[in-house]
Amino acid sequence: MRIRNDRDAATRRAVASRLRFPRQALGSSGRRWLLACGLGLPLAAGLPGCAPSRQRAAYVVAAREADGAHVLVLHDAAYAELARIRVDARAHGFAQDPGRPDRVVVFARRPGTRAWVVDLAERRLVAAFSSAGGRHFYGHGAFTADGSHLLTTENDYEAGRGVIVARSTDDWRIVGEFPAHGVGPHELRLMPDGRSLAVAIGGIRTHPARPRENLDIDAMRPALNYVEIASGRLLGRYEPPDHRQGIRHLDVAADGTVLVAIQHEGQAGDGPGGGLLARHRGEDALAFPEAAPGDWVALQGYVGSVRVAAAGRHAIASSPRGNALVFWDWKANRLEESLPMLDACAVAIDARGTLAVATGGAGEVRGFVREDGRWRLARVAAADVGKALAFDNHMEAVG
Amino acid sequence: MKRSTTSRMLACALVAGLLLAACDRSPAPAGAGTDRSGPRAAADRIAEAEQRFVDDLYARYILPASEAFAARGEALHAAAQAFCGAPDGEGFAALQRAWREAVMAWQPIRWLQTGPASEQHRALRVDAWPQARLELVATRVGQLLASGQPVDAAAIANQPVQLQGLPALETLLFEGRSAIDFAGSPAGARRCALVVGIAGNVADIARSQRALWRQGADGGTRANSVFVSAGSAAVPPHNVINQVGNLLMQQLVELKDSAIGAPIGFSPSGQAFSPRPRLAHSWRSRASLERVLVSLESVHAVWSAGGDGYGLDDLLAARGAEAAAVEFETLLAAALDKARELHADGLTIHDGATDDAGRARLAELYERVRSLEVQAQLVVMPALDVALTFNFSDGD
Repeated sequence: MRIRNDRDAATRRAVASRLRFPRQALGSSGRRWLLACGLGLPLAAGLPGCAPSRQRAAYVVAAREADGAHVLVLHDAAYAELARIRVDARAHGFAQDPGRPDRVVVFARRPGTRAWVVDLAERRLVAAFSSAGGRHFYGHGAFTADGSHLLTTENDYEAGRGVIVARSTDDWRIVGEFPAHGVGPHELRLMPDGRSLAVAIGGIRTHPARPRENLDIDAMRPALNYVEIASGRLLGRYEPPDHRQGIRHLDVAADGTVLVAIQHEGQAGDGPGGGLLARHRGEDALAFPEAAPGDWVALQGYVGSVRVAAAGRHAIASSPRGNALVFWDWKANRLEESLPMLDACAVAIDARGTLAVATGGAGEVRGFVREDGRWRLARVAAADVGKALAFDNHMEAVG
Repeated sequence: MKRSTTSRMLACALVAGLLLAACDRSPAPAGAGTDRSGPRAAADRIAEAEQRFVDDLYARYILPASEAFAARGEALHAAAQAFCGAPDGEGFAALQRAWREAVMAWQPIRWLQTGPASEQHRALRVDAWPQARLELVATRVGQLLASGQPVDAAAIANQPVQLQGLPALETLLFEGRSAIDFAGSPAGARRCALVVGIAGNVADIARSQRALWRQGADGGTRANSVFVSAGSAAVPPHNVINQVGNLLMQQLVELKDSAIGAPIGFSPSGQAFSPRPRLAHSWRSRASLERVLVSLESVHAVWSAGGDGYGLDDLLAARGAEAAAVEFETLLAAALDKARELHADGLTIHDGATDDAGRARLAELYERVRSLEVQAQLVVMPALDVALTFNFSDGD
């Protein structure tokens, strides 16, 4: 057990209840609730107790405003913008607290060192923390099943070592760490057993002094790793057939099937070694889906994000280089559909796999529905002219 | 409990009403509703101008160009069938000519990798370039010829994209071939059958694409939706402008980096490396420089909408950015002049890249296209309020 300072459940509940004080207090007293709503109008607008007057955010996505400012954008279920929250660096991925769904942690993009805690109900940042010296975030993290710890992929860059750092979610202090068992760990997700993580290993050494440079492509060793949280032990490692197939993003279905998205650091093409999405569900190797002619080539060697529906068999992935979205029946392991969308990257899909959403670098939000066995574009919500938002790499369904 | 909930709802409704009433008391914009000079009216005027651009783009550019490519595709298929029916030197020359004409009809719409061209990977199937590996197309063609797989148009449509279009045909028709290579032996007959199959596939794709583009022929919101593959979803014209702007940028970048830069040995960052003439588009047929010229002419056609239509230059004027328009037009004219001059001198990118003198002349063209790209990126697109995409080059 390498996580220190792990409080017992009762202490955790007590701390959590203190942190949730405003909602509980107001909720326990009708008079106080009305008073807050009726008198402290500006204040009440930000209080969770007055939530009925506010639409709940369904999605949060990182974006850049026309003047270059970095923001988090909250959308409702119909993709209408609810709020923009400024952050002081470019944001990347998200982690939602399973026990407190209004709490989302946002991570700065590699090689960023900041992370922000967002209260979705209040629509504001409520805390922020940084990586330790000599470390930077890789832009992704995940809560433990009980919400007591946050686990982040980080770069111990002088040692060239990928680590997973554990923080207490009471105060965001670091309480432990364990190896990612590979260089360049990127996205990680909690497995359904609650005890292990699926970790995407990009396999490329980088250093913040040369922030966007891949230092040694020939030495790349990408993989999908399974790591036990309690011990930090490597439970399994699955490498793609071509060492240039960097694995940076993944998602996990309810049954534990892991879907990975690949960025080819060479010149990807069709055929073996050219696949850019793969599935793992206990086999000895990653299984690449069946694809129609042109499906892989159209993705231009790069898949930026993948999301799987919690139930069912559907997933969505994006390729901003290929201006394309791919819909994937992962149970049959077959790419069902490839649809164009300019600079598409951030994607989300609902729990049943019947609704999907994607945003693009040109400010578009597109909603898709699955009907009669096919994915169909249902809605295009555009940014207003002159107020263009450039949506960044990732979004999270938080509704 | 129920009563308490109802009370809360009533109280909140009251509060909400007060809040809304307070909001309603905010002063209305001067002349709102009737004045055509406020910000709302200005936005409406821009939207009208943008829709006019889109409608003209269809009428004056997309529909005629997709019509021309469909016609050339059919002519190419017919020439292949005629040649393979009676292979001789004259028929082979006619077939090579038909291929070249099909390429030059394709080139003006190559940049339109959107809507009907991007659905079903149509553009990729017609012209998969640049390629992952230098000789990937030739290798794949050789493998297919050596296999026993069917090579009719329907079968070709299910082959990898490198085998489906104009680059595969170029490999078959311009790799030091003559009519004799297509006759008198089973291998020759199979080669001919493959040419007919690929040409038939190109003609099929061109026909489909033309039919789909025609769905936007009446202009308006339907044209917008077709252009950005939005199905029946309503799309404002600015989404199309965003797409056009980004596609034009992609075309300029591709011309600079892939079509000219890579063969003469310039990396995207401007650093020099060893020239690689075979990276030129259509190097076997020596059509590379003409392709660049046609692409630049297509930029000019979209820019000016054929001179008397409503082009990007007019859109810039509507936004009060005439100076940006003049500068871009000057740079475009300079790039076009250089491309025409080199083409008139009989230079090709493949041949020019093999010697210092040729490279120096091509480097001048590279520099002019680079200036054009920079002006488009830094001045024209921002002036058009085009959100230039970044995820494609800046992902993680």
